[in-house]
Amino acid sequence: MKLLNAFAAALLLAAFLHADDPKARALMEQVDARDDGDNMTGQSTMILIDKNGDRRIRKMKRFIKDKEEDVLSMVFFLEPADVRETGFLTYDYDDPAKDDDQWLYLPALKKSKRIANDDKSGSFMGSDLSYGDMTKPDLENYDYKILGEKEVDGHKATLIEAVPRTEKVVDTYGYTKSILFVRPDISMVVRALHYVKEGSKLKYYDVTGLEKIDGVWTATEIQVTTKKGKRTLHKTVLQVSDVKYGQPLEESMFSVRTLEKGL
Amino acid sequence: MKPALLSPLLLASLAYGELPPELEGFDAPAQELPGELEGFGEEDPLAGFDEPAAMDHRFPEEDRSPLHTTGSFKLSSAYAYGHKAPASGATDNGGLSRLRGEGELELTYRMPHDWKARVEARAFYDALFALRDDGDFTDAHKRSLETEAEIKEAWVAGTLAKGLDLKAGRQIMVWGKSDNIRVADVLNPLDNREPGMTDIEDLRLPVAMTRLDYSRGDWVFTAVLVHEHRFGKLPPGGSDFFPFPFAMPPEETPESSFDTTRPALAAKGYFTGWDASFYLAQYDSDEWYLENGVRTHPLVTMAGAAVNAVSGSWLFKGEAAHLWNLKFTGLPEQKNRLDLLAGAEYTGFTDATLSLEIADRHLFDFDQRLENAPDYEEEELFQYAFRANKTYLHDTLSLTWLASLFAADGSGGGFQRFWAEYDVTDAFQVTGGLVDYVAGDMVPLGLYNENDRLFAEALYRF
Repeated sequence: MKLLNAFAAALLLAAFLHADDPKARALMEQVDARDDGDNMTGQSTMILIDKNGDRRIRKMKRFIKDKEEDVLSMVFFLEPADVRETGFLTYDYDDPAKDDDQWLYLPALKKSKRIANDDKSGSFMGSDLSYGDMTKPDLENYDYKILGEKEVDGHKATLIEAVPRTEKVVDTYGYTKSILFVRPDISMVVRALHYVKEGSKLKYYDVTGLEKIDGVWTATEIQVTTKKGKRTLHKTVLQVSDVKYGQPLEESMFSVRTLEKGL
Repeated sequence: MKPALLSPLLLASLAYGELPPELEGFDAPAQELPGELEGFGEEDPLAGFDEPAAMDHRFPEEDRSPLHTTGSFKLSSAYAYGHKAPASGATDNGGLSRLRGEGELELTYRMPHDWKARVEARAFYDALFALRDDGDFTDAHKRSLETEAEIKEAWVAGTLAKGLDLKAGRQIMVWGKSDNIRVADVLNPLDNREPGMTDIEDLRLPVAMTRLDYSRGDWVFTAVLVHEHRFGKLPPGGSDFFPFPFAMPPEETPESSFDTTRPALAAKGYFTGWDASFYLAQYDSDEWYLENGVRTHPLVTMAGAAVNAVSGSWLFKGEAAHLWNLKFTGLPEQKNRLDLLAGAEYTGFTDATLSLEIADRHLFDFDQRLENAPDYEEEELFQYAFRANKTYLHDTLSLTWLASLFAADGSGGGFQRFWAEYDVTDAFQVTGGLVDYVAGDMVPLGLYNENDRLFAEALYRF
């Protein structure tokens, strides 16, 4: 009987711990609904730093456009020479039942290639960012819970635990859970700690540069550090410059044809 | 769940959950938060958090000059380890088989209104021929592989009107969805001088053509005029990839003129979860026949289609090409052929790709005489290609295994290639690997089984 009680208590505790908190969800819905700008162009520099401090630098140009609830984005790599003219086109659908469409243009092959993107846990061009990190999370995939509050860069941040609802979500994004630091005043995730399934690593995502550009809060520098315990394994710094919103980007620009033509 | 998490999570749940309201207001104290959060810092999260790296590599919008120059230097070597000792007086193909220095230069000039022009040149010199006794090599072998300088791509491209683009000049245009076996990809010939040894970026040979692309909705329509008659580079007589005791017959290349300009059309559609393409081309086939002792290329018509579709981590590929008017040495009449391909690619393992492609080429109205030299044709020819790739160390190390076999049971022969590429820096890459040729009854591929190579490359890009 004791064993049964303990089992029931454990089940209750598990259900209790994984319950979705409406306040946390409401805050995440605000984050999801935040005005993150439209018709954006910008230049990005990705600095990959290995555990020895050796750096590799990748420069790219990004274009983003909203199509109703969906997001169209295109990235062209400008440097270094081995990835120059590589292009990446994504149709990020809001509908969780719909897989994103992605195509990659490989200049060495002179060919664009559709990408099966169900596994979003892979590294984006060798960085600490995964393909999943580059897209908006689907709120329905997670249970949210408020853990407390902390101050980040002089601003109050609410800590929200995001636990994937299914093993499939864990496998797809590669995180067993995440703790998000949400600034309620601007409805933005300014830090996140991701628990990486593979290798039990931790991934620290930190917005280290934040500016209001054309009325839109924009992360101008993001630092992502992969650690095992307290040991840093690899780090990526993403610096964004020349960000402009409201640019005359036509929907037809976000096409495989544009990817193949290049900049 | 780590025990350390239980307390703060439970407290947080009590604070924000469905439990007694008097318990609301409990804030999880910072020091009781999960220990991993301390990765963001010590007491003050920002103070101890990994300080933002002191660097700024941002670049301004206007730092691109109209003329952009890139290029590379490459040193490559290969060692043939599979050859038996030659008979007295015969060529020894074993040992060092390549010691090549190679340079590439690419100039891109950007013009107003998003027009651009590009010229890409490549040259190499293989010191092998100077290091080893001249008697080991035929003149054809030396001519083909000792030195080479050529213009690769040379084109001008831009937009004529909304949705209408022009690209004219020497260029590569890849058709089809398959990655390892060519079915509908017929417009550019291949460098097949050393099958299995050529880097993929050097494999297709650019051809002078003019193409117009018109985009409308989900579709892109392409019209092409192929002006240049360029055929694949074949193994030179005397090399171990030409295992015959005679020289390669001379080749007839049609003059490039308005009359010999070949047309091609394509329509490509891109949809949610799948893509489809349709192709129609008239072209001088790379597959030759002998006419009066001269290698002659038949004018072939091809109608093809390709499709791919995504499901989860799977990418499925299908491709078909019907070829009309193939000609052979051993028969006076023309033949038609249907090439079919099915393939799948799986990307469900992190940073890894597995792909398998299977093709069948069916020659209609097959005549047994086609099995004889120099046609060596088969009524049904299967080909398998399997590729596995995984990257490590944040894309700095890439391991790839590619295997290709011919005939339904693999008895035709083929090769497998395993190689590792490592980025020492952004600009400097080293590669090493081996190619293992599999014996079989297909000619000439099945005769390459002694040509196994170890190879190494050092590449500097600027």
